[in-house]
Amino acid sequence: MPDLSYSDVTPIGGELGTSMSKFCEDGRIIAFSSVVGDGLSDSLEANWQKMNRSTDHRWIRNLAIYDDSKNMWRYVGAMSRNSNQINWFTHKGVIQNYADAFIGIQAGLFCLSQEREENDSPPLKKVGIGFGIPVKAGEVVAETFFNYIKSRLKTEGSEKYLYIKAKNVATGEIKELKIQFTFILLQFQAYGAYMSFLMKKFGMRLYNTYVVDVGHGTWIKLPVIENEADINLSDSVPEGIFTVTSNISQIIFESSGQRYKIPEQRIMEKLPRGEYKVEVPGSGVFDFKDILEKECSNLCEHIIQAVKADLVSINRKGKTIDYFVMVGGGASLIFDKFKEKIKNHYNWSDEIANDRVISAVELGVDHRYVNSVGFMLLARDQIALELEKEVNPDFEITTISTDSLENFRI
Amino acid sequence: MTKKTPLSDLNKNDARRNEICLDAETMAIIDAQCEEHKTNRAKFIAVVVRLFLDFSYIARTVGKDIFSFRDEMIKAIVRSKGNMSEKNGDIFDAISSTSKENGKEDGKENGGSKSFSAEGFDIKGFKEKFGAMAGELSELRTAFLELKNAVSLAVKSPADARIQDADDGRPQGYDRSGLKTKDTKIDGISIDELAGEFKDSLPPSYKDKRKKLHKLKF
Repeated sequence: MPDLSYSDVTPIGGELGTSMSKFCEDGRIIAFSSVVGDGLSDSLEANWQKMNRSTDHRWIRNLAIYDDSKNMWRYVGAMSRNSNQINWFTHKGVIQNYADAFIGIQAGLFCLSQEREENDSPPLKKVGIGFGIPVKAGEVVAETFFNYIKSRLKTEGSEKYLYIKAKNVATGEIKELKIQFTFILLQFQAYGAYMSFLMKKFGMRLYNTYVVDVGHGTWIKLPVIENEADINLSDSVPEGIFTVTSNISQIIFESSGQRYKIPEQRIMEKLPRGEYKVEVPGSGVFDFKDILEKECSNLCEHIIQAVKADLVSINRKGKTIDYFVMVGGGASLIFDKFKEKIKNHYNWSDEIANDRVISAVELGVDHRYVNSVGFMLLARDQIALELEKEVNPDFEITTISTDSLENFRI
Repeated sequence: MTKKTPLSDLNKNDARRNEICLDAETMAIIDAQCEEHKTNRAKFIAVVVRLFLDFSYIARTVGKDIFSFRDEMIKAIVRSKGNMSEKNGDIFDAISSTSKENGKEDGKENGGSKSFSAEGFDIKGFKEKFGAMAGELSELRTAFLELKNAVSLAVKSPADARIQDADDGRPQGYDRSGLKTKDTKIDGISIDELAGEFKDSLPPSYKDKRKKLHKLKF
């Protein structure tokens, strides 16, 4: 019998990444820095509002969430630039503080709901969440985190509700939202990418897929054999694009006679624009393209060594990998190298390598967001199962909102 | 390789033979093929079964089921189309003649090859009938060569191949007549690596496997 209580549940996909948290609902994605900080005092905040000259007054850029466990406002994402002390949700792929992570979930759901309202859709009312957790978190931590979330929900009859109180610090507007939680489905972070490929690229056929998710602070490996994550071989390694950019920062520091330290964030910002030069005061312009190339090759070599070791284990079990997938923010830097190494490992032709080693570009989705899309699909599939229906595998990302500065004018 | 029931165990009046009930469409195909090749149903089916066993064995050797193997062969043909040469044709003919010789030798020693050992089966006549299909199968040649080379190299290491060449007393890259062979680079790959080139052609459908996961319900 279909469970009709699921008929009005909105599927949501989400993950708290090392640097960015991403949430997806239908064709919408919101992404913000995985950081939370204490709010300013009321008087300081009022002063900041008066002096703030930014024309970017979007909620996601100026968001504060009321933390009822501490009875104070917490700044989330970009807004935490004004906080004295900031906390990242995760460190080396592991959730640092449940209360902070809970704020992250509230922020994600609020921003998605806000996006809906701004596009003339009703706010979120009832959700089922597919949620990516770091591989190293494991079952116990996942269960503990779930219990924490449960303890923070308000019970009304037999239903559980999440109350969110949010403030746009730039405008001073305060909004409250009440969302019914139906379920949360925890999965390994990279499994979201697999779901996206399963539904769009693989035509709902089960191909054995080896997913590598290269993030900011970690890279994750997750072989999915016959639709199930191979827990023994999955791992998250505390090495990612941060390692590359911080090494470049260090080299610049040393080459400048240890006089100037260029923050790795400055280098990170340049990469998506294809800029490889940075001005070092007193030393001139420093071109880090060759160093970047070398650092990326080193990172790729570490990844490929782990992959090759896993392939031996997988082959011993009589299984083979049909597709190799690379996703995550670092994929744009590493993917071509990764494909070349896999190709050489198997002695594949270019044609076979292009067919078998793939990235999120094949889906028309940014490398960074493909996991959150997949978790949304996972939640959608579970809702369809409860309703005894076929799942709709289609998705098209139409809007992506981030907390990066927009419409900058002085 | 394949579990077989000894021929002596099969009674000619075995009721199992009557259990093979084919649908009308399949029967029509069989009859049309019998007419085309001037043979009867029993002989046709005997050959079909033996061909199936042979191809099934080859498919298993490269880690595939026969249908996946067929699909990959078709893809290989598509890939190799346009790359065919006269040389390839000659080699294929040479392989065919070698196979015939092997068949004769096997026939002397073992009383018939594995594929064509059915009692009273007119193999010669049947091969002539199927010979007409050779033209249509010409596109398969390149793909077949690729496969044969790969399997041969897996069975015989490159070192062995070099030793044999040396024993033949001719430098590498020259054929038995002393003519320089076409420069073809064939990388030695193992059966595992060969299987790695094929992805599953008939993967199971997610629709059949999807199930309710352990959701943490509120």
